[in-house]
Amino acid sequence: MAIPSNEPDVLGNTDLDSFDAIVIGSGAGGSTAAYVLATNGKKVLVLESGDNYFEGLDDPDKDKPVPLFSNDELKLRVRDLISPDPLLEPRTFRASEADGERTHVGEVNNLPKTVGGGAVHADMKYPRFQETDFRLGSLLGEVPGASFADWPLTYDELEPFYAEAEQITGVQGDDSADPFASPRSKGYPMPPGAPMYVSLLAAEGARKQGYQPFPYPTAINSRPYRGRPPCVDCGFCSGYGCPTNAKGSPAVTFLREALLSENCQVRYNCHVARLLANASKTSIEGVEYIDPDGNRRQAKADIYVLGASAIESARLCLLSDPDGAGLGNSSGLVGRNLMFHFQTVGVGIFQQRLHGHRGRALTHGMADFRGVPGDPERPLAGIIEFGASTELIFEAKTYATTLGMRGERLKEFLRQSPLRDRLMGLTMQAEDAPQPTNRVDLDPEVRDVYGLPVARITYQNHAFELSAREFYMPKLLAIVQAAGAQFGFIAPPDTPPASRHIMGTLRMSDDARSSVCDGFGKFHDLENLYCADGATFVTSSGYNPTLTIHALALRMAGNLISPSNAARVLRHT
Amino acid sequence: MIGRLSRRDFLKLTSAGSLVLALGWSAEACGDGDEAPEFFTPQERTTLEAAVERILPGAVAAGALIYIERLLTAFDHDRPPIFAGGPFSDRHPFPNIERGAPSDDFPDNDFERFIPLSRIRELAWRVRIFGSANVPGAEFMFESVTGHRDLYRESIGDLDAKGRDLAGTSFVELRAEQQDEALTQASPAFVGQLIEHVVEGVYAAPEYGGNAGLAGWRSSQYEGDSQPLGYSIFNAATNEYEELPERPLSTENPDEDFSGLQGDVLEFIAAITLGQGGQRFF
Repeated sequence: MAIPSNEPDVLGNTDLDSFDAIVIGSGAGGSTAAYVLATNGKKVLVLESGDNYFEGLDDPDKDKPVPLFSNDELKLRVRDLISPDPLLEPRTFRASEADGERTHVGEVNNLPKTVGGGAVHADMKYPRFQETDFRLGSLLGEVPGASFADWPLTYDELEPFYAEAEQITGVQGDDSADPFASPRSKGYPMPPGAPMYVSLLAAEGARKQGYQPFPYPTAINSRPYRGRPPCVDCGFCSGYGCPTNAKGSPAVTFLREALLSENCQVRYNCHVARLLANASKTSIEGVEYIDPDGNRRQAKADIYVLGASAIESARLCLLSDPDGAGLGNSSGLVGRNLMFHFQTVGVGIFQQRLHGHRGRALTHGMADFRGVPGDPERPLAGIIEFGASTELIFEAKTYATTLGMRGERLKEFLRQSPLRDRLMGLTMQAEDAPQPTNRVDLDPEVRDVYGLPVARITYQNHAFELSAREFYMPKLLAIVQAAGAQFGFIAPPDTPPASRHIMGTLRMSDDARSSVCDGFGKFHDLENLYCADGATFVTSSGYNPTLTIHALALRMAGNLISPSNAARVLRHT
Repeated sequence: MIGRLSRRDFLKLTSAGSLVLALGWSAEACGDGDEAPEFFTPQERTTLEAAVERILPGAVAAGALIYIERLLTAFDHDRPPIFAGGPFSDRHPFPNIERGAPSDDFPDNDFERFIPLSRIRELAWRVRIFGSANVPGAEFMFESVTGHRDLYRESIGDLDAKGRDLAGTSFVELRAEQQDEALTQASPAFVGQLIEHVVEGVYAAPEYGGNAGLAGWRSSQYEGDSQPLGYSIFNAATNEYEELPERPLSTENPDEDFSGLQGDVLEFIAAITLGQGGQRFF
């Protein structure tokens, strides 16, 4: 019996010793690629830099895996169990080159790094993009300073892959409730679960303002589904791994199926330091990684798939070229056009307690502010999440540290809880204009625990998203007022952006001069290197990105198995 | 629970109370049956208790110092108590989805089994506790890190020195307002760290050493961890969701009074709302 593994820091089939493919990163993109390849007979090695908190992920027993996640704010949010430790793996930040080498060292949009990837932390909001999101280059025309372009694929081409990803992860939703959604070939696999009070209040406020709210499409079970239980609405969702596997996160869906196929091995606590290319930099011949004990090792395969997230995948290309220009970088675009969603949060404070700590972060949202490309009366922002505030330690630190409260006054604020139990937050995602000057490069001085130069983020907003924020702010406040808030304000924006939606850096196009990857995620410059994460996104859309990462990775890997008919690998649609 | 006691009650309670709590927690805390490791001297402990009470009254009785000391001595435990285990505590039962109701079956407390640290995670936490200058392997760090142990030891001594400057006494014997003055003049790095640790100790899960008897959660009307029961129970017979009447998911609380924020809190929120360019709607 080759599985489950009983070797430390290894999951899956430990008998495998030669591989067809090496996948770097076990998140949404990497797990999906590993699933397609392994279930179609390819031998796959997944190298994951983070630790594993799914005990028995490779054990076919129906009671496995057992997660080590819990309703523990200290563990998940203060001490950051699932995120890279900023002391070990800092990033640096500056708004522009005019700021000098950097203005900040430490945490910058610290997407979790663990078996299952960034999506482990997610509350699994899994909307699709709209049909027009794939054609913004044509629809918007020239936007000075921005690099909007069409995607090298259409919504219709991606649609079957969206449907497959919804089936595998288990998305709950209402097929007919979102009037702005693009056509679907197949309904959601589960109906919406129990609604939250705070989301219902916000939805009613939105309706009074003439908008059309809907149950948020979410990859969380509302029913027993594929061996995983229904969600109990424990309230520790966004930022927390799921204690019961009710979330259809990549580890317990795609990656587990890959492991159970016996064609996949995951080595975790294994950090890839560089890709090893041939002399002409047209082919990858191996990877060098640092094993759990700190030793440098190599692994080889025929093809290599990057799934380390948009920042880390671009960094790896830059780290892997001894001449300094970066692998795959004949276009000069590796690391450029970095996008985060520009989030605007409308806050309402209510007379009554909203108990947003009961539920799964939020249950409703609306897309009325996604806008219409090119219509000045309806600028492009994004989907709105009707959420709340849930965390007591965070609230106490806000009062004690940010607002300077002490003693009985601090305790009285915590008892009345204006900024947690009475708070509604409407989080509007927004199209983040791609800009070549917003980029990932290597910091010239700061190193990580492995001795490698860290990613430096250079990023500032474009007038495109700043003007959308100004346009929609009063409308957000009108919704919280109509929902019954006593007070309303707009939260200040995050700098550096903290969205955890990281896109661009290895953008795709059929034109090799204006992109790094082609429409199937293959690097133009290298014959056997592919990207399966959000790095290939051409534009950011205004929707949570993870379902689209899954769909693109399914299509990318499907094309490897079945060139010119990638959809042939789909099994559930 | 702690809100009803006066400050003097707490000063009476603190030495005896923290001793009892320390004994009560030591066996579970270490998970290996050894004594709870100590970091602070009796003098340091007394000074720190007084400072902690100025930040958050009742925090000492709630176990804030036990929390802090367990962090500072984390590597004296077989498993450093940095990341509590999962998925469940033993505070709530499993749901019964055949009946759509809570079951009588409670899980074991997984929180008490701390998660082993990977090699690099251990490095990071050693640096936090001992300082980057004292930990082999931390040479790569761009900025040096002062360890918690050095920060506490030096800063607690400074508080007593400040007491001698202000009134010729130790920090503990200063009047409350003089203690506040001494804290204002203390190292901002220390006071900032102490506030964070006190808040974490009182409001984190009790398995980390504080929040004794869930005092922190109860005083804030916070419900804490809810798994595996949660707040909705799917009923497989009806395909409906049952809610807990006292803690509903989809409706207002049964005892909700809608009277809103009171007194100082109301005024403060009004001020920050307007300061953010926001509005008071009514």
